Amino acid sequence: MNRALASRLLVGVLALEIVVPAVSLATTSTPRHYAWSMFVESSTDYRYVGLTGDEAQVPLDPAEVGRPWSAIHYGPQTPQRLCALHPELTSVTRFYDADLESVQPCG
Amino acid sequence: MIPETVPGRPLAAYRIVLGLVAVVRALALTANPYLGNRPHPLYPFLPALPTPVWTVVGLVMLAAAVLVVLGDRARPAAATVGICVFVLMWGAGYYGNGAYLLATMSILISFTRCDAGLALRPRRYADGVWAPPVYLMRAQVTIVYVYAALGKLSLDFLSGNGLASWGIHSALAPRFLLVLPVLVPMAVGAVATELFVAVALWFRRTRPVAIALGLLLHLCMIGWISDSLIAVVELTCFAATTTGGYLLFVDRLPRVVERRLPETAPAGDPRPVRRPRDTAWPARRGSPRTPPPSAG
Repeated sequence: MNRALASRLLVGVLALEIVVPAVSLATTSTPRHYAWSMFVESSTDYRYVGLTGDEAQVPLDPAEVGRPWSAIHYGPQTPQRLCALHPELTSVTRFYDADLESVQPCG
Repeated sequence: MIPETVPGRPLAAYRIVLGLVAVVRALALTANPYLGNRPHPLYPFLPALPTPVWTVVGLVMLAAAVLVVLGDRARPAAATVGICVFVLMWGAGYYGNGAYLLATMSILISFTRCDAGLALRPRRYADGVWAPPVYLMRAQVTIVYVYAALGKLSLDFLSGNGLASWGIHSALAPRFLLVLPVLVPMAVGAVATELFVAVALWFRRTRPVAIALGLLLHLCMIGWISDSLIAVVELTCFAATTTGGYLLFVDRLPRVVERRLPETAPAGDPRPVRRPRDTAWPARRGSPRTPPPSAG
């Protein structure tokens, strides 16, 4: 094979290197193949449950605290804000899928 | 633009890195069905084949990977490694970014003259190591970093949720670091570093910083994500395939390594010199492709 032809083939391979992940990124959802997506969007189900003074459990919607905290599911900030919005609560528990992730005491 | 030739040693060193990664991955992929990971095709239209088939493919890959490391028939061996990984990914369903990168780089390195140095049986090419296939591999390294960064441009990652969920399960990430003032800058910094490394590797002045940051990024990745010894091995293989690619951007190996290596092909080497087949290719005066004067 002469080098002129080899060069054209290499340009074709380069085009494939660029186009294949671009198509995958544009047309598929996570987990993507062939897109060099190292981060698979977390499919974790985060749940917030409040505990009242009479030991009743109340499901809480993190959207109540507004952005960006409603989308941040680690650390104490989001539970603290839920505590502030619901003074009747004694604690806010965050579940990470089925597992208990943290318990934030209120007040 | 692109030079006609590049130094052979850094490319040969990357061939060895790639071969070693392939050895580890071949062992892992061969053992996979016996560790409870039942093979099943990645796509429904592919036939489901029995486990011994994948064992044979894994062992062929292992043999080819050893040849890649040794530099004996390295180019066909590298192509064999790439094909075996693709077969295992599609047929047995063992897809992963690390395996896909190994397959891609193995196929690409088989286009290069990676057997010109650091080999049991080095081949001598009269016109040096042709640069364009090596530049194609450089482009692949950049493409991986760019798309890895693009894939992280989501609120889920940039808010630190991704790093937090990895960190919770990690054996090595300290729990006290799983706080907003640490995770958000880390998440944004990871994306920025990937984009910087992708571009900065191409420029001589920024290359040392890019190499240092790239190595740091991969070390942090191993430390932060690994939740088991298998994960450490997987991520180390991926890091070696990617950061080993930095060798493709340099003109020579680090001095410490160079000093320990033998000189290039000794004078009076009796092995025949491979000449380009396209002798009609116009050779410039003084270029490395100018044929050497014939004896007598």
